[in-house]
Amino acid sequence: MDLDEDEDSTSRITSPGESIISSQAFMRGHGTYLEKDQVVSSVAGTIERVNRLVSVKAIRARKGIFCVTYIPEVGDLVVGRVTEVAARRWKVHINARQDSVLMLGSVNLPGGIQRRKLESDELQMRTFFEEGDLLVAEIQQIMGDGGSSLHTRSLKYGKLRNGMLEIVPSALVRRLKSHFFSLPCGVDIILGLNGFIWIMKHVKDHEQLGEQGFDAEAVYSNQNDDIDQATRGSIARTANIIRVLSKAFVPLTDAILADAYEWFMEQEGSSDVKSILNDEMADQLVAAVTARA
Amino acid sequence: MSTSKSEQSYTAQGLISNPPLRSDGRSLLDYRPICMSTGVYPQANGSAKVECGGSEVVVGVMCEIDHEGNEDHSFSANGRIKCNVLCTPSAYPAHSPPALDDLSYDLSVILSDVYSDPGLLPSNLVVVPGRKSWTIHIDALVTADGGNLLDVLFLAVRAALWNCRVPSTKNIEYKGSSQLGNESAFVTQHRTSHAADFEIKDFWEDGESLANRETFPIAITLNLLSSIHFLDATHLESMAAQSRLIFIYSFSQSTLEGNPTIRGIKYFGEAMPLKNVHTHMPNAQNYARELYSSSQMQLGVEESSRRQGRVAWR
Repeated sequence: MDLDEDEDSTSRITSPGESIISSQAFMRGHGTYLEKDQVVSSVAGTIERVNRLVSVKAIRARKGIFCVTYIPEVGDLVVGRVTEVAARRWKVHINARQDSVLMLGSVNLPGGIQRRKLESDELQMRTFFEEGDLLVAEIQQIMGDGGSSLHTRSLKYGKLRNGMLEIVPSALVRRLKSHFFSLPCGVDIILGLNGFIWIMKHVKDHEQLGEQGFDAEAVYSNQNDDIDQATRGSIARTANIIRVLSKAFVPLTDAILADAYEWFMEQEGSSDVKSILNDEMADQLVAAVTARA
Repeated sequence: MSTSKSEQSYTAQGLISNPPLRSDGRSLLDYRPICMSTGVYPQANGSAKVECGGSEVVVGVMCEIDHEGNEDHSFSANGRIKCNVLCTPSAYPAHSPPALDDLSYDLSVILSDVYSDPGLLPSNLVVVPGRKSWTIHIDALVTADGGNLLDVLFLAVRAALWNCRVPSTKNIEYKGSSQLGNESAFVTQHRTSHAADFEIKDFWEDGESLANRETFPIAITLNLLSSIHFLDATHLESMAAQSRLIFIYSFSQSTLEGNPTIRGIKYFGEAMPLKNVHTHMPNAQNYARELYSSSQMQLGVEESSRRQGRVAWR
């Protein structure tokens, strides 16, 4: 397969061993190797070209907990986990090749959104986010080396609690109008573009804003609210549905998840949360959801 | 893998709520589906791959001849079992290389401790009595860790040993230059004891399976949290648990109904009165028995299908 200079190459699909372009005019990037003057793909995925750098973005990375396929872009909504607290910044694992950076200056601090950052804030950074904490943020900037920086300067962003994380290949999450949505069963879902999905108890709109639009206690709290048994069941059910759909490589959108949940509740034995995980039921769910879409 | 405080408390709350609800809807005693296959490495004498939830362990077993007066003077006439566990960086992307080594070492020690018991040594490892014997090298590779690693590790090692075939040998002897009638008669009478060396039999089968292979142990991890215990914990669940109590049992056809033999008990976590171990023991025994019989069934299926395959191939 040859890349034409003037053709838009972003949508081209390639498979391992397929030669992409001559290496004399182009440089090889991630997901490619050189063979006899040719840049050859080493993974199955889409060809990406930045000036003279040709790389292949893998559709599915290696099996395991970490499917490192996500390539950050400015404005993406991601769910990440803090890995390190450093000087005036947090390092956040977002399933990309490099950990992202969240600067102390890019978060909302207690005591008013517009206030200056003080030295005392630097000394108590762990009271805001500590290692292991999950947060939802937006990609603010891409650095020259492929790293990225985040910001949580919106009331919708910040620390995550009251729920559980589910990880899917990032290729399954498409860009949507909104990545925050709630299912009728009292569950909120945050679909991170990096494949991290946060499933939590529904937060009522007026509670979310808090007093004066910002309640620092609640925003950086590690305590979960009381979660009743029914909500817990709904969260587990949603997580299992996501697991089944991601195993079948079905792209996840708000509509598909709502459909899938509705379908599951119509089935017999839906009170048993794990029943969806057996192969027969899982196949039926996938068939039902893909037929409706 | 790190977790946040809210995730931990969410998981713990779910486990101790009534009725308990785990994040994937399993009951406290449910295992995630276990996928077991044997003979995954044709070059090894025995091999197996076991997947359970997010954990995956691949085990290769190699037989090697050990002889009297070897380099490290560790020869044992009845043979030996040596264990080594390696955790791959892909299973633990967040670990530094030294931390990974430590983890591999810890797991190797647990496995070696159990398998160094002479009672577990198969009786058919002797090649030339007193001089040569088989050393069994168990190499386990942890390719993914989704929690409950120890149970999976022991299951995988057991499956690989079950699959292991020791090459059949026959002993040969060199007759001395002294052709005295009396002496040669003596030699023929005690052929085996005077055998000097061996050769591998040219036999279409790979060899014979290890003797009393059903006694190879099974580990069962009880995760304890307040008054409950649960099995097959995910990463998050094991972080939420206060302590882990691990029982290692060995079964055999004759003791399947009665009491199994205990090979080891390990405990990690908060201090606990000793009598609690006794209260957990009968439960653990039952879970281990279930795991034993289901894995045994799977191993039987695998073996018979391979045998059929081989017959068809011939």
